[in-house]
Amino acid sequence: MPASVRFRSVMPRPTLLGLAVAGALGASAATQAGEVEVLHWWTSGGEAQAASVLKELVEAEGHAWQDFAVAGGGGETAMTVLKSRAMSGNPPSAAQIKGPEIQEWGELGLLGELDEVAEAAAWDSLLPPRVAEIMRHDGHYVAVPVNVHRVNWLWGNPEVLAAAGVEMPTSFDELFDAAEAIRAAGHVPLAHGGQPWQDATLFETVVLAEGGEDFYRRALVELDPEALGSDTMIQALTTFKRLRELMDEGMPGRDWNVATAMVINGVAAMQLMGDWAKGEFTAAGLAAGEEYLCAPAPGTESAFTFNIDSLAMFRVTEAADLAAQHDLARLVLEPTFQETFNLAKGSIPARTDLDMSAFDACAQASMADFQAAADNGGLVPSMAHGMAVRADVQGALFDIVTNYFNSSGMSAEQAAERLVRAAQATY
Amino acid sequence: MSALEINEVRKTFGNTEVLKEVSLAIESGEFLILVGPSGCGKSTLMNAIAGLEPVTSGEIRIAGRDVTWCTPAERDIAMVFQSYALYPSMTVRQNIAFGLEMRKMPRGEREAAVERVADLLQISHLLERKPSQLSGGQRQRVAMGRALAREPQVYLFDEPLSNLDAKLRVDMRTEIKKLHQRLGTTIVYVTHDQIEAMTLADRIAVMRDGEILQLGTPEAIYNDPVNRFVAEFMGSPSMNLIEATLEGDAGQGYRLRIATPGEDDLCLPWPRPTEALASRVGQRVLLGLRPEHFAEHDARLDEAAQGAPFSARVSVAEPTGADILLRLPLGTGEVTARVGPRCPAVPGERLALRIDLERAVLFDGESEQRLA
Amino acid sequence: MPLSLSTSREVGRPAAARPTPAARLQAWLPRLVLAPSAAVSLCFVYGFMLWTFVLSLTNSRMLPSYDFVGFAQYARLMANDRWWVASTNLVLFGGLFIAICLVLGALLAILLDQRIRQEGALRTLYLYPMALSFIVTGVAWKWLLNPSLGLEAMVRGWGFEGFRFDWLVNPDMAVYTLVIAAVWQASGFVMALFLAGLRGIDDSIIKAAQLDGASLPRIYWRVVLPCLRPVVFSAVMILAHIAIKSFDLVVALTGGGPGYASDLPATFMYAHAFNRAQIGLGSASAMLMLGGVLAILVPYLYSELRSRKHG
Repeated sequence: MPASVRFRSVMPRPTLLGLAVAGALGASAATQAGEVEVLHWWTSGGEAQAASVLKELVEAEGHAWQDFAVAGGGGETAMTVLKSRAMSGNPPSAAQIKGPEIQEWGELGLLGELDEVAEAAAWDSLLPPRVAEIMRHDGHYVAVPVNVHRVNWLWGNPEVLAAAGVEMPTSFDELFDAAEAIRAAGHVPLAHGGQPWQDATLFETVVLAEGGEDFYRRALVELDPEALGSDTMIQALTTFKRLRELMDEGMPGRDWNVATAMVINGVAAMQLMGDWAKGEFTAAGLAAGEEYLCAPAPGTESAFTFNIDSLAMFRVTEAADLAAQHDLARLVLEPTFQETFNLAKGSIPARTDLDMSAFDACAQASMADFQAAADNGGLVPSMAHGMAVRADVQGALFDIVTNYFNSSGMSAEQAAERLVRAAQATY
Repeated sequence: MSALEINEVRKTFGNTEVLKEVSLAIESGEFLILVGPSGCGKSTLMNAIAGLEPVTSGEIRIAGRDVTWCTPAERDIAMVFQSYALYPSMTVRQNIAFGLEMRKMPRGEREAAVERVADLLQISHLLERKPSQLSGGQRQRVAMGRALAREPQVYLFDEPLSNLDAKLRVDMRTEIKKLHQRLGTTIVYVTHDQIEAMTLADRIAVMRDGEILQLGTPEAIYNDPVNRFVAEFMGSPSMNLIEATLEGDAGQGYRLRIATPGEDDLCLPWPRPTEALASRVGQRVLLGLRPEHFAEHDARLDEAAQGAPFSARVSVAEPTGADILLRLPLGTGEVTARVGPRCPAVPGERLALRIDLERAVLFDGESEQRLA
Repeated sequence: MPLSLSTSREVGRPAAARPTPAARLQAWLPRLVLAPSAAVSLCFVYGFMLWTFVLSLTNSRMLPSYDFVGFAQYARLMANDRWWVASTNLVLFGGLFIAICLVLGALLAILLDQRIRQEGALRTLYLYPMALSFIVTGVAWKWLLNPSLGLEAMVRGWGFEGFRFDWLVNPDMAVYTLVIAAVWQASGFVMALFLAGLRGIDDSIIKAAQLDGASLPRIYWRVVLPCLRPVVFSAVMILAHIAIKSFDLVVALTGGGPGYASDLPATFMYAHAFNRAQIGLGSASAMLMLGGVLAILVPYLYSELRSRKHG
């Protein structure tokens, strides 16, 4: 490919030996201080604090940390900035890239390898295979996971549920039944924000519930046209559309945290949202399990839809900077950082061997589910959060899902047909 | 019944009285010119007649009908503006037809009227053009055509020739006069140019400070001015006003003594005694002599037939081609005399002239009103 | 006559028939001064337009690549449902926005032109929205139009239970909310343009029309407004480019939603080129936007400027 050839010619690829020598030199010469420039969008209060922990750890190793924070919730601005830096031949040492996008950057030949660090810290044993797979390109580790978010969570307000006389539902049928009682009690059954990514989050959870993990993988990861056009999918779409009945009128355009606030304030009973919602509950001073409830999304107990933030490493030539970068990668997966960061962020550590006693009930349950799912094949990447398919496919699916959800004119069959076409068009 | 009657019209803007009880009556077919210096109220009077500005008090009648509170459209008048005021986005044809269109004239009649007017003003070849494609003179004609097409009771012209160059102005002046003779329309015309006033008018109203000082034929205004202002305003070069002392009495006749510094006193006999003179004996009066009242002393003619003799040292001689304008010291200042083109006047040398006192006028030294 | 800076050495030369170097420099000086901006314009505007066109013929995804695929991206664009929605929305939004702004602006200007008291204050009041950014306008109107927070809730609170104004959340009507917010922002500006134009009209034309018997509405319609064709022209030029540029308004007011019912080509292009790593498709959509703009504006420019030359 001409593009990658061009980039390769701009930045000569160091040999493995050279890497080893540089690494050795870097490790031995502790006085040789390098610099890491890290692009990220952990800019809100808790996140920024968590990121500064990493900074201190890196600086304790004697390196300089050049912060490159770009605000903007979903990281869109950050990615645009990253692209322009990469185009000009001057990418940062590390950037917050996740999912299949890591592969795209790898294909451009811009990422540096971390095999050495991975071997030294035995990453293969710490990370579940499905997670490790995402961190590798062409068989080499190029990124390090920072945390694990679970997307298929159901959050509930126990007071509202009690007032309606219902429990947290374990299937979508139960959810619809409970909704009637909740409405009768004068509350909104399901809080939701009508933005494409939220609609898609809901959609993939329904698909997971209706079809199971294998179906989910075939449809939303492999984009198998048969799966996308199947009756199961049509059923999932119908259920998905029915969820609208459980929401309030002012739903379109609402931000996710405003929807969470509806649950906190007792206006709504439940919300289907990833575990970052926990941050809102914690900030409101509520105790997990007592003042707010968390449960796997209805029908998905055995599955764990993951959304993993990771730092991908770019090719670095300077020996000192390379050493700094390797130290950074190593520090990210070490217990100190993993515990501190994930406590602050609301997610669970990426390594499965940590002591979870410092974490709250929901996080501990999440970690237990993570390990179980890793063992029995229930780990699925979140399509809605860019872990399953490339950005353009994700975008096309978003368009179809959100359009179907909001318009009155599209039937489930038509939506399924469009999904099939979208899958075929991009490959 | 006069075509236009203005009775005691007053107009105030805030505290300033711009028109002070002006009264005027114009007969049908008459060409009246309002003339005066800037700020005399002539444009205000015209706007009042047109209905573009309301009057504070008084009455305006057109063809006997009281139109004081009518809108401009209801008054059946047409106006030609100084800036022509043609509608820029319409063709000449549409411009002329616009007023007719507003009065719901059927299309056939409109077309006929436009053709007629275009023929009259010789602008038939311009009918499809837009105003921006016309020259000043052509625009002026279109503006007149627009007024003519309406065939109103009264035409108002607001300094229509001011924006034209000198030669065109003279040509258009003649055209307007011919049109008036041909069509016999009633015209009220405003100008500050007294030559236009003299050449075009049937009657002239000289205005100053919101009042009509004198209303009369051009001849009357020129030869019989009612006060100093009117006398000086009309005529070019303007009338000479010489300070003199009145002497004599009713029985023996009056004389005017003019003292010129550096010269002997000039004593002129006044030919037409009036009653008003009796009380002014010994007082300062102003003698009004137009430049053409001076003549060269012709030795061949009889002494008595020529005017009073007068000689002075020529200070400036301005040949105009048709005649020569001389500046001579007389009284406290200089006078302008108009003599023939062959007069042997040499600046610095004395010249013998004659003064025709038959057409001279006398003004009171203080009130500047006409005495005789 | 060229400036002659001949020294004594050149005295022997024949009378300068050729300009001296200094004179030539003087003649070229204006061009030299303008050259940098012209070069910048040429490069950054037209040069990059060309580059965008080149990219639209490639299969660029996240970063530009130069694998040419002919018009495949355009084909993909034509088959893209969201693009058709966005294009239709642009026609709807642009057309309504320009038309309503012109009418409202002209009306306000005519009313203000009647020499009323407090004209200055009123004029400022109407112009004020122009000072806000589209983001602020979008957010403010989003709150106003939200059924549960804004107008609908307020009127219902007054007792009119049956009142509905949920355009914002209605996929069929969402694009019209964009029109409302944009007209609110820009009509004051159009009013200012028209007011300036009206003030430039010779008073005596209006007087002549009054004498001709035209009523005031007639005068404005037949005489005054036709004189304002240059103002209409400027207003349309400015409004058209605002309409096409509308990106921040969509993002702030509707987010392109519900679904993508109120998407516009500008947001479509941004989303695809930058967020979805499809620079090829985004470039193709940008070129089509440019094509649409040229198709409308070039004939308009041509007809206006030509008629202006021929008066």
